[in-house]
Amino acid sequence: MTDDRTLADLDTRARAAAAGVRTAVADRPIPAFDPDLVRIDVDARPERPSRTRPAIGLLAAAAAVLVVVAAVVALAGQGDQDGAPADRLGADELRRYALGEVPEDYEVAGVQDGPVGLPDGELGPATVYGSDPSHPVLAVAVLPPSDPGGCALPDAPDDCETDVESGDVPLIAQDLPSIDIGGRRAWDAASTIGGEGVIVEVGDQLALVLGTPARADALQDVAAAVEVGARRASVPAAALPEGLRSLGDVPLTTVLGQYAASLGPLGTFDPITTWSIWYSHPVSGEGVAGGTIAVTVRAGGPLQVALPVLAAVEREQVTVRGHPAILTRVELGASAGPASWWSLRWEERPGEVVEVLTAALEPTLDAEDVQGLAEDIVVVAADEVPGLRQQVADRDLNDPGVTLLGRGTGSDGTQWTFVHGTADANLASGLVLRLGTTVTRWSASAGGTGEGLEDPPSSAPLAEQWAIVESDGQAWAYGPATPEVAAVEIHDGADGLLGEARLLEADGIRGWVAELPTVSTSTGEADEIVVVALDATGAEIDRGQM
Amino acid sequence: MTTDDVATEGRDARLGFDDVYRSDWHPVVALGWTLTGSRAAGEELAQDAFLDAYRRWDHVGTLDRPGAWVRRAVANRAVSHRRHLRVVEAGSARLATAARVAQDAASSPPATDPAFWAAVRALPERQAQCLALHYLEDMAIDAIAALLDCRASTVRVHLSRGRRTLARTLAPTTSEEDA
Repeated sequence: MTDDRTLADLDTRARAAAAGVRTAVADRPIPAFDPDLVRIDVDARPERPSRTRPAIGLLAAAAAVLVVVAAVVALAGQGDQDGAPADRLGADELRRYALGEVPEDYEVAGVQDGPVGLPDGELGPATVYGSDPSHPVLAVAVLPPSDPGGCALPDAPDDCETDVESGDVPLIAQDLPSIDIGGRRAWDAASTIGGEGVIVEVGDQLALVLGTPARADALQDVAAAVEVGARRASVPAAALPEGLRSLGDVPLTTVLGQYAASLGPLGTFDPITTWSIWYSHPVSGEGVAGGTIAVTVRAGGPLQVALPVLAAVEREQVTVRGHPAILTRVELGASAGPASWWSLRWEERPGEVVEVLTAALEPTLDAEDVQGLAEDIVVVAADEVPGLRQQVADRDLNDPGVTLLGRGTGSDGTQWTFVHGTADANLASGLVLRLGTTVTRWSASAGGTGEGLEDPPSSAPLAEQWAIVESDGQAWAYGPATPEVAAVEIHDGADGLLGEARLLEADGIRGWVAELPTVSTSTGEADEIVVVALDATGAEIDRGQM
Repeated sequence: MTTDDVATEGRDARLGFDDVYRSDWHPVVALGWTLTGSRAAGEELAQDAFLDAYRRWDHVGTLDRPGAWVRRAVANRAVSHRRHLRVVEAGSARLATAARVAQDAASSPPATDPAFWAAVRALPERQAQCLALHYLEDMAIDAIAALLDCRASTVRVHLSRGRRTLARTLAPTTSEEDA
């Protein structure tokens, strides 16, 4: 119960906090409003596709990523000249690796066994040029349309505005200096995309040109000549710097590396990875930053090993476990914090490219740390994977304020843990269904934050609250249940019974978990699911449509 | 009723865009900041909303309170911002987000009470919006309802539930401060 005094204390604190915010924002002058950013000649060019967007920052423009990665998935089968000759291992022969010794305070936060599967999209590949596969120098690609409104996301509102056209400068280029390459509009993308990069407008599309040519202005020459098709960019032979040839096509995210994160949360998922394990050092409530370490495996050869150089600010050839390796560093944009990302890639066995990736703010991890971690990696046997997945599902379980309601395993083998966290717990507050995998998608009814469902908005048996969480191939629904709920059924849109949920309870906290027959949110089938609460007599006492 | 409905046709003195921009920039940034947890994101959302308002000024400028239109845009975009950030909980994306949150938290002046606003953001979205508007601008229930396009009774419920939850979750800190 909260008494009047407590609420009065809250209001006092709230008003002080509000005053603090008002004072803090007033400390900064009002920026000049530049109408040049808001050209209103759109109507004069009615045929121009709705591509430009207001500037809300790249990290906020997360939605584009679903399109980015999705399309890359479709390309996963496309080969490059890195290929798999007879003496190289195939994707199904690659091993799994993990850190031999996990740094203090890090814990397993994600495991992905097998390629990431995501919805189809519209993104094309990056075409890579170089003197040989070990020395990629240039890459060109068609950039995806920006979607700052997140309308491509499965949980986008019905009235999501996909065609907001507020300026003539594309979102991705709005903070970039324009450069004159002769005839085409172009922007210097070094600060955003990484390495040396140019974004160029070719007709009604945007192309990205990046790399490390010997001659500084070579990128601009290429940008002036790059040709684009529906989904693919290429450089005419006459415009190609001397000594370079096409090395083939690769997914754009593999070229952008960590910069792909600037396109959104999924941007760093490289769909050709066959294995990844992530360790995280949590961010504390006091703002002490954490870190992430990953070990990934993908099929490839010298080109896959060397690709990170295209977008890196530092690159070095080193030796790891007796193999030549490429160490690179990229810097995230200013909006994402001061983190440096270190990547170390090498071919552990023919055709088996291993990467150790780190990014940590406090304590920091530097090049030596990365090499040390890489030297000590160990092979993960297939029968060890379930245990690692369980660690993922169980992370934060011992934190104060966390209550375990139950565990289970999905039909696809994914372990889950159903927990409740209080607001001061490390994991998201409220009811949470934790999956033992890396890739999850989460959506919910109104209410909730992160992956937690807190503060039921009603006292109804199902509290008008639910959430869906998906792994790569399986979906679950969960939500709270009052004591009068004796069973929860999952029905389809025609009210046919699809299955029964598990009711779980601990320390007076009650909830239900149901495995869904489809991966709902990504396919839009969520509306077909109805959850029905029954009392002890079997009578229906509540229902809700997801 | 929506903010659009409160347009006043034939008003004598229409506010100019520059007037609204100058008068409302700071409170709009404050709203975006508190709802996203990031000052930078707040400024970006504010810029975004004002850009949209500028483009649609033929319509927005006829509204009784153009600033309310901008605030609603920021409140809604802040929700989208949060949803996008939670689409995937994984690897590097976690860190990119965490890095920014940590950086913002570390750079937030203590007087802004970041822990309080973090608790606000942990509330259901509508509750967080109602409370931010209520506390930041001392906005009346009817004004919040018009701004968020919902009934006044709904706003009242959101405020009540949100305050109760905050009082419960922030109680230990409040007690310590009292002591």
